[in-house]
Amino acid sequence: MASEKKVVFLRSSDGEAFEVSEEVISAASVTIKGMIDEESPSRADTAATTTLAIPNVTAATLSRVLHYVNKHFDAAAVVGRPDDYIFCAPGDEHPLARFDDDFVDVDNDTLIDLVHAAEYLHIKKLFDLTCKAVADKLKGRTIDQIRETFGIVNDYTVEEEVEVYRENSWAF
Amino acid sequence: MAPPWSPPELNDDLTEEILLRVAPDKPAHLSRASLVCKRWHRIISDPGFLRRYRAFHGRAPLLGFFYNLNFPAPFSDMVFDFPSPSSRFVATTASSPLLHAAHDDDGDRRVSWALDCRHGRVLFEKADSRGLAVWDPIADDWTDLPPPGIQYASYSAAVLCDVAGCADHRDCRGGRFLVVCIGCDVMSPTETAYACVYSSEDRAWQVPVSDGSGRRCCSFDGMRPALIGDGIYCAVRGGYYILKYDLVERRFDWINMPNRFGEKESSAHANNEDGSLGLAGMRGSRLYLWSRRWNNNPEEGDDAGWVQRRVVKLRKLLPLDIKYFIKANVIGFAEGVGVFFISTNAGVFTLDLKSRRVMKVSRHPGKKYRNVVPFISFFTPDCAS
Repeated sequence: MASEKKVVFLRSSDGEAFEVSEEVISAASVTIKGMIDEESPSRADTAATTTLAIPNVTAATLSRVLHYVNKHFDAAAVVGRPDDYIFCAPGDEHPLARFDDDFVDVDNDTLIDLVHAAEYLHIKKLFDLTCKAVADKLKGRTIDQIRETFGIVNDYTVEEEVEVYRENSWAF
Repeated sequence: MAPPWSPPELNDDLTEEILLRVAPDKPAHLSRASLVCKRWHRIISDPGFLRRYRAFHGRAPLLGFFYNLNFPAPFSDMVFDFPSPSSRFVATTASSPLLHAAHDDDGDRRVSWALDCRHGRVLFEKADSRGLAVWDPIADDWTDLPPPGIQYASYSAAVLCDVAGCADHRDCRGGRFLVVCIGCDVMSPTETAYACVYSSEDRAWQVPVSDGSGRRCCSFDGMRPALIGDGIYCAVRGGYYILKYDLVERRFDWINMPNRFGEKESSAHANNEDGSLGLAGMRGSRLYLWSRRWNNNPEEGDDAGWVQRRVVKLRKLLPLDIKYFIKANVIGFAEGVGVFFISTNAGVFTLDLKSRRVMKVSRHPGKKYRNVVPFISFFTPDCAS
């Protein structure tokens, strides 16, 4: 019985439940590890599987997060799947660099949802990756395009905008 | 069932986390982001955020380089129409904060040689005298130095931060600094090496220190020295030696080049990632990198010799005909960033050792750079005001 891996279920804000290895998700998410540790005393005397409510994350986002978590934090999966390595370019810093690039190659809203989920679940590597991907969206965009991308309203008066432009005119 | 949850917009904390990750090697991106809205401007202008930004990225990026031409040769007394300091700068970023700034008295200044650049400052030899000048191009602040106490036949020189306790040199601009000249006295028939040290605090050169080894130091070619701890390392041309001057002990040491480091190989020496002394040279189209090993066992001496660390086949990264590599040379190294400058008959290229990216950077067709002095610095939006 000891060899059997413990699993937990995570229920998204829209009610869908996802199964994940307890060991893997505990290694990845500080928040969920805390929830599991809190549950532990009551679980010891019951065989029921734990279901944790994740009220801040939708099913679509949670399934993406778990895809990332299983790739990055499941030691067996990382070592055992050579296909991830074959497509590594020589300059890639780690074997999952390509996976990460594809992972954040998504539309803006999906990416922002992932940032929020990574922050709430406290998954540092995913938070770094998604924040960096959002930061990279500033590249090659005009100021208007950046505002549009992030849904930001220009709250400068014309005079203020001219002044800030003057301070940073070298960058244009 | 709970109602579908919609994500809140990015709050201050998350916006800060995202702006923190804007790459420092594209300094225009962060400055431009100030214009998006007042909140972004407030975050980006906050000194606490900018300190965090520099700490997060750790190492300052390469923003460009100052070049020296093959003609006129260094230290010649030829009358020549020398360029102004900023016109010697070539940016390696798309928008350059240094090229844009209107430098008030830059137009009147003429410099004959870019000697060194470190910790946000550039050290020049002035064209109209043998005096030196230190330029902080971001603050546009000039310090003119009198000529050193030794009249050098040839020399190398370094400028470095002298603020006590400043370890990472990310925020040390405007503080006290040292200038160190190491070279051969024009009056000395024995070609003895002398070191002269200028302190910005004293506004004066200290008494020159001579090398007591009795060796002839031949000539220095004005290449930028390496700085490791308190040691300044200069290549001695034609002598197969590196001359080390220790700023604290005020003494010289001679270090042999590796045996297999041939005469044809040019040298650029470097402070490696692990803090050891490095050497780089071209043989044909291959870049050879050497590393100096230090031994902690006192019985064996503290010097365990050179180790060939890496050979980079440049034609795999730079598909040029072999003829373009005939006189290929290493003409500079940006330490911390890990970028070599390689001069070929097809122009000057940068090689990023980590990403193996190669980029053509020479902007002056028909002119040959003798060496380059990389400018490595953060340029955060507070630098512009």
